[in-house]
Amino acid sequence: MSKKYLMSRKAITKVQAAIIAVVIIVAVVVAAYVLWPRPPPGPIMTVTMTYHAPDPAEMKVAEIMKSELMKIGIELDVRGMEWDAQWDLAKADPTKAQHIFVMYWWPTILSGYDFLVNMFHTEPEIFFNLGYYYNSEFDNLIDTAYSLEATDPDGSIELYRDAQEMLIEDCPAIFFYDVMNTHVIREAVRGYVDNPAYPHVTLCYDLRPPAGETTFRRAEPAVIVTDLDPSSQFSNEIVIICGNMYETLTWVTPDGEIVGQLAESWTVSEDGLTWDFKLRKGVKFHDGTPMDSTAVAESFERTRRMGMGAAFIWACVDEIVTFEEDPYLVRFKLAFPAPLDRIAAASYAAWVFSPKVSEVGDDDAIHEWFNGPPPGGIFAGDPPYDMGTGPYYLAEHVPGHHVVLKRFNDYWRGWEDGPYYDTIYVEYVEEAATREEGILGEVYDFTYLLPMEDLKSIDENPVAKVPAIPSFQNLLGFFNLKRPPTDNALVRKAIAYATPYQKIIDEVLMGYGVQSKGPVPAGLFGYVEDLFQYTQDLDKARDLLREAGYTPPPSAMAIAGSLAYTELLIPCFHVMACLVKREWEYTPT
Amino acid sequence: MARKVSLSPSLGRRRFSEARIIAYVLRSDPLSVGAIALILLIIFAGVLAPLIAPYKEDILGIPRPGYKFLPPSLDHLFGTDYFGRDVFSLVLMGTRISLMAGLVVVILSLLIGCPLGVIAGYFRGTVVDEVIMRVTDIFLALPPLLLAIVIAATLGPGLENAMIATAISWWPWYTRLMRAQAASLRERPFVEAARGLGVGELVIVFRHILPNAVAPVIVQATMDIGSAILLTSALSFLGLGAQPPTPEWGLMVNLGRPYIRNYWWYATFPGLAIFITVMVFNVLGDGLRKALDPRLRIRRAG
Amino acid sequence: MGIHTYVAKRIALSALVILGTITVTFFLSRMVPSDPAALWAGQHPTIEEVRKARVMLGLDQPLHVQYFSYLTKLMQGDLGVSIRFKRGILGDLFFYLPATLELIIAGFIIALAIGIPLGVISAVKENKIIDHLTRTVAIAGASIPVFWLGIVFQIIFFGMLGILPLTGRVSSEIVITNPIKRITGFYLIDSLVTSNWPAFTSALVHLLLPAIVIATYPLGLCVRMVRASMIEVLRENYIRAARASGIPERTIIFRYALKNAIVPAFTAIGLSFAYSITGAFLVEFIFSWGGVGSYITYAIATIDYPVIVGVTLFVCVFYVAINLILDVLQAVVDPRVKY
Repeated sequence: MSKKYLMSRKAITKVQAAIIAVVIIVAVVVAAYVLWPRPPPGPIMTVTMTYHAPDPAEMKVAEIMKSELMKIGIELDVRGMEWDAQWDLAKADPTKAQHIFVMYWWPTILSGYDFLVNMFHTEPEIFFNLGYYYNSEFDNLIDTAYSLEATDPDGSIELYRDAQEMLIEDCPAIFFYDVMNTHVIREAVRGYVDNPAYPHVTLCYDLRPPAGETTFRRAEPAVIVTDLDPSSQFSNEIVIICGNMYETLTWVTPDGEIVGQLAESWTVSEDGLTWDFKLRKGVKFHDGTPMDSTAVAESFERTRRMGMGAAFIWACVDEIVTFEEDPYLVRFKLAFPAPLDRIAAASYAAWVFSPKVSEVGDDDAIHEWFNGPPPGGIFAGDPPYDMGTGPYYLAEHVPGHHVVLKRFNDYWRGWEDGPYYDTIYVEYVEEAATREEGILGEVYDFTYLLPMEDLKSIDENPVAKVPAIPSFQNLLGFFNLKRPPTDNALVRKAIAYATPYQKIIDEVLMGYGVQSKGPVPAGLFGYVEDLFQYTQDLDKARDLLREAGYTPPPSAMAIAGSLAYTELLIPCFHVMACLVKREWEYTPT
Repeated sequence: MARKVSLSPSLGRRRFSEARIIAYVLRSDPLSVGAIALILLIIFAGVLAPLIAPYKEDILGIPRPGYKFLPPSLDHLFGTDYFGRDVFSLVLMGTRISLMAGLVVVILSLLIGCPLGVIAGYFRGTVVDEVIMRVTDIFLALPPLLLAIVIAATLGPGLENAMIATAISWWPWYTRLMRAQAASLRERPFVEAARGLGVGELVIVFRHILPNAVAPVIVQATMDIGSAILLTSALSFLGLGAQPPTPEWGLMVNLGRPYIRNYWWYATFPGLAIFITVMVFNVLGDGLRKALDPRLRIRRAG
Repeated sequence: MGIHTYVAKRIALSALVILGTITVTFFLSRMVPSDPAALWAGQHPTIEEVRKARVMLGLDQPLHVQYFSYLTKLMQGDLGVSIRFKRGILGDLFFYLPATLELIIAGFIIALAIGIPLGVISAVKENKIIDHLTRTVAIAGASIPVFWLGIVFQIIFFGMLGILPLTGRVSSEIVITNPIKRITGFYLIDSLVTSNWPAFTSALVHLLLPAIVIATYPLGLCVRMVRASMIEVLRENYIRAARASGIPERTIIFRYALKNAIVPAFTAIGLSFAYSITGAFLVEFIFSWGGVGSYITYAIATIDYPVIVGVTLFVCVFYVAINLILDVLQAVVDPRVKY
């Protein structure tokens, strides 16, 4: 007899069925309430942090932060996102944005001002001030300091010091570390000098190939070309543009000295408002046009007009004047004093390009032309496909794959002191293992962004070397000042005191970096040697949290609690609970 | 009160003996027996993970300086990762995540797909059926991984989102299956009888047809647990699923990619775990399918 | 019904399905939580620029208007423009397509070349050890995580043995010294046609690992389908009659049985070709292949929603088209199919 047949013999009345149903429901509800896991004594708050997912260093920093903050009872919810995604999140609505935004910064203008103004100056529309730090006193300090740089450096430094001390006190960001350049270059290639002012850039003109080789092969970890318009480009194409395809008026040497490139010499007036640059004669653009003051003026005017990329560096310039009598003299009239010689050496937005582009049309048309594929656009016809003065011109571009530069024979420095590289081949190789294998197998001559763990053995390998030098690049974690709980300065300071700075240097950077002293890296104007540095002090962090009104648990209890919760979390309940009460946005608990 | 007579006594008896037959066939197939044993082993490993794992605190993500990237040894069966954490413990704890992910995805898909399929099958030929089938076709036309990627990318990274995305790509299969079953059951005399007695249509659908149509779907669902695990770990591999330091298998395979030249163990062992788990479910499914083969049954009955 | 009506009905249904997928992907992409206009306007957009971009992208229109304009553009074959690269999507798609096709076809050839014989052997020696082994191999093919297998192969053949390259379609040296002239986009064909032997060898060597990895799923499927089909055919009366009349076993298997067994297996195998596309995404990701898979994974990572929608659409059309062709072919070839 099947069970179903047996059961069907007993008749159940409607009332009985209803009672059974109610009893079952009540039983389930009671059981669920009793058995439903609660977070054990643990998170006193939840803080969200985003980082750039493809970057293993940032990911490791996030992981370490998560485990350290857990010890003082803060649950850190880390999310790896693509750069644009996390940037959009921050730019949208501050009250819903992430609490901590992890970001690398490196300067365009080689002054501490670049760090301070871009990341902490009040902005009506958020760009890089990702902590939403609005402090007009701070703004005044740094603006004044910048205007005094060229004429009163000591006074300028004092103001920078005051400004940075304000940042330490208000704690709008965690200053993690200043990272070293960890470029890997083949031993056989001579003449390579790491220049912190232009990171990741290889000046192929200065390199000397080993005997029998003419092509410089470079493996690039990120997509090479996003924008080929010299006025607006602000991305990774710098590695082919800077110093190879395009040039600037002035240049910063690895020792920090400012020397002339397209300009021979320059003078500045007493009040710092008038700069005269004498241009070099005999310089030709890749299309054959000779360079003169009109070309320079038009290049910079266009960059200023378009206002894209790093055009902000020209904010100080009121007027650019050229003279009919002297086609090699350019005068800059500034609205306020600023170190124009340093600005003109910037790694973006300071390129000089041929005035012939104006024949294409207006600025937008030219922009499309620079980036456009054939039949129109910059790739129409034969190379060169750029309008610069540099020693190499763009000969081939396979989007998403590689770029080929070839030697420009009319380069103003000449090609007498050889041997030189004739061709530069830059390939987009995303895989770190391929790049590592390639450089050790001498398939590539240069690469970077290899796993930190392997750098030491690569350096010891006779085939390659890692000339690690301090760079001007640092990692910061911006606090969201508009969203609780990070809107509370005590909470921010607590997190700053909980950050394991040395552990990060040792475990993540493997020693290839130092803890930051404020937002300005060592070696830049504006760096303050004796600025206060946070160090890891969990007790101090807890005190601050108590002051803010929370009750943080001691480390052991926090760890045990987290472990119990995570163990329980991993099977069904957390998942089911989350599915039932979908959380579509971050909410602090 | 009138007696409630079961309208499908024959079906009930048939279901009972059907289970018997399946069990008999399975027992005689060595592969299936092995698969069941391994599945039980994996489930045990997952459930008992906190007791077995030698370094279970490593799931919290706390670095262990000095233990970085140790190769597999007796102390660390699967070696250690870039922070010195024991990979064996991580993989063990990750068993729970993967099993649960597979189960949740399949259950979600069943919850969405079965009612739709049964309704479509019962009302076959009508507008309701056409609409449901067109929608199913649309979702079937979208390649599963692609749809899951797009949904996960929209929802944002996270394990829960990955599971939802996978479930949304999965349910059409069950709808189709249920529809075929329901359509064939609809012709049975007991259903006609029920209709003749005036039993409401929806009651027929959910009380009579659904329970009897569910058997092959359950078989399919069991097999699909493996595929669901595969899909969710693929999403984690692409960065759209679980986030570090969650010890999810697919995520660990991705994290190990830059190190495959010198520290191969970090990417290898979690992937091996995925492989074995998925394979074991598929072998079981294959065995179940053989057991349900009507020709085999005829042979045994005859 | 007649074959013509059947085909017409199937085409109409397929069109409906494609329309449905367009709708689904379109609305999905609009749910993406970021502002496409701001993404388009670039790095440091002013309010004016964002507004311009919004108008240009048609985002200021209500949703249904956007939908219809998208549909009309599709009719004209315009898939839109990528936000990241500012280039037409259809053009880029066709640029990257040959790489993916080369990979899938190569994998498929391997799958069929190994799968069919294995399936036949397995069917002939049913329930013997070899059958169990082959069944296990077939199931393994369906269970193995493609991304893991690729990495394991890389570890073994590149990391430990050093005999095969890690990523890419062709070695960097070849791109510099013997660049392949782009005719069809298939590196093997292009290098053969231009007698570029070093390039041909390099392309072949680079194709080896990814093709094997992609072949695992179709291989498993092929073995199972052929085996099941062959078993059924081998039970038929006419096979028994052929055996009784003394025809050698080998002829029976390959001349009579296999021919009839292939047809039902045909559809499933054909479908697995379409399914390989999704496998291709993961494989392309691991081997930096530079095909459609790499294109879309980069687009997803950078939230380039026109590309996501465009490529998804393209793949769906491909899928639906293959389904349609297979259905029609089967209807024509297989007398058992009623229409």
